Amino acid sequence: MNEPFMLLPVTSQNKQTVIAIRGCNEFTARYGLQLSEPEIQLLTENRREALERSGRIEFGGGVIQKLIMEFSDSPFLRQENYLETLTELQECFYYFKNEALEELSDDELIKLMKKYFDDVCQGSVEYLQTTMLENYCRDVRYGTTKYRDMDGYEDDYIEFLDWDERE
Amino acid sequence: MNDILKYQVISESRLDPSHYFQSLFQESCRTGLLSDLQIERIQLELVELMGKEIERYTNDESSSVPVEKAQEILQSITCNMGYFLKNTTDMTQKIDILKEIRIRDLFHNGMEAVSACKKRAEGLLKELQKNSLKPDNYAYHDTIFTGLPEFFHNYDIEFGAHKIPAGIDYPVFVTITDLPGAEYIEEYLKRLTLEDSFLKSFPVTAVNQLLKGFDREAEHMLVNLFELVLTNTIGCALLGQNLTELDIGPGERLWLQDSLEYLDKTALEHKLEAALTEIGRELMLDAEVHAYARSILSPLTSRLVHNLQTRTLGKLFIAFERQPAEEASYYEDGIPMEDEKLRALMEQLRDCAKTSDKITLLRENIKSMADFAELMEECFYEEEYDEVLLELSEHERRILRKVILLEDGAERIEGYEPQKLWQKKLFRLDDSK
Repeated sequence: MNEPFMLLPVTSQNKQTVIAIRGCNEFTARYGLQLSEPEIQLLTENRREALERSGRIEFGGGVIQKLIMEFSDSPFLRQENYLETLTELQECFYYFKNEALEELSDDELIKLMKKYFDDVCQGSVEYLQTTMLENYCRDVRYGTTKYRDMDGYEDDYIEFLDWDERE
Repeated sequence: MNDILKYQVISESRLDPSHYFQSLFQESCRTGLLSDLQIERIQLELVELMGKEIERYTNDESSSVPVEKAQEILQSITCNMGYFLKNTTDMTQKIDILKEIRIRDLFHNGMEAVSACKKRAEGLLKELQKNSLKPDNYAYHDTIFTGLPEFFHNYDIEFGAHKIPAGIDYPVFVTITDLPGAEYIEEYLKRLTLEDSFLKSFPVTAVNQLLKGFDREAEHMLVNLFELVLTNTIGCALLGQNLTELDIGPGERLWLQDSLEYLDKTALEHKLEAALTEIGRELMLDAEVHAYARSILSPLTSRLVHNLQTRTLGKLFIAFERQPAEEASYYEDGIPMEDEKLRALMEQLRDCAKTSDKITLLRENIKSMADFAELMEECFYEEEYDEVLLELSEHERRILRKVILLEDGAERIEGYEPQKLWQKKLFRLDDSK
């Protein structure tokens, strides 16, 4: 009786994620990046697992659409590593949402990830996770403003992508 | 089974007041009152509403939240909906609402209803802050002036409807165990108002003295004043004395022990009920206050049975704190009476029919404990010993023991065996405390 989520169906949320991911293919085609149906299903399943591992819950299509749109123009993303990188980025995203104690919005965190992925981390999600994001979120947790002084941070802060314009 | 019969299958007693929406939904599913389509519709609309509420909660900055936060938000949603349904009196109507009304609308109706509940509770609090009795009890005062206002400041109807974000320490007599959020606070304030209304029948000085008699540190204790005062009021009613005086001293307790100890539980309950009726009439209690006060009958009867059996009525009926023995007492050990006067006094005492009259004569005439000891042996019967000894203060009893020890040539109390029955009772009296 005290478990509120017994009221909520799971399958409808997965459907929305699949639709959202499928919708990105048209945009990412210009970068030579496409996800097949089985790959979409795998990514959707990974989203569910990543959320479970990070102790988070998401309604609607999820953040994967924003991740795809933001990273699709990365020079380090190719069709050969597309699914694997997206899977790792998705996992990384939910992990660091917790690590930053909800202090970073989705857009802020995605922009940060993209900036360091393309720059210092040279396309390595592992490097992104274990160094740049780890340090950044530690600063956020301790309330130090050191992260504001990171290279290029002031220029990029709260410069949100306008999704409509990009499409 | 047609729908009308099915509606009757869901009884209010099967529904959990603290998770009302969930239990009504479950019962409706179990009894087949909701079709599969209706169940799916409700669930999908809940998912949609959750998504919207999480968006609002995060100012649309996050698509995901920690599971604990999502559970809280969902609990708040269902609490609001549950409150609205709870206040719909007819079970048929409740089910129809589930079937027909969109979840989003049910949630907003619920928030309006909870908001109204919160406003009513605020009104009750303002009244209490203005007019309540001001007894010497920190928790009582702090709850009304700090704890409860904190609730109204912090309460979040949209995202925390089920929570009670405040420190509410003072315990009401009939505790509330199964209500969430503002509903709990409204009910708490209703009960506190009833209790305060009863307490205002008494001078605050009497209530404070009763508290001190209960415990010297009662000012800092979490104790329900209503129960203490009502219990003593009932004791006063049983004694036939002024209800608002509240004090029940050792002599009165002895009288109660003698008059009640051979009654069985049922007879005791009837006595208490009659006392309560008399209290309601004499203090002109409001019907609601009187009905609330009746909740003491069952627990008080059980306690009374136990305390009578163990001769510990002092734990049930409280005596005001007695003045310290440093003050002037009737029995300062002064000069003994002349023999002739002592004999005349003995004659007078033997002629008295009532023990209370004998005690009055003692008080008016005796200054020496040695004289007192002689009169105890000559003029009082065994059944009177307890009452007379309890009339003495602790200080006087200590002097009396010393007088007895001196007369017997004993140096100390340890190991001393008194010879006479009244002396045995005297020496046992402090051991039993």
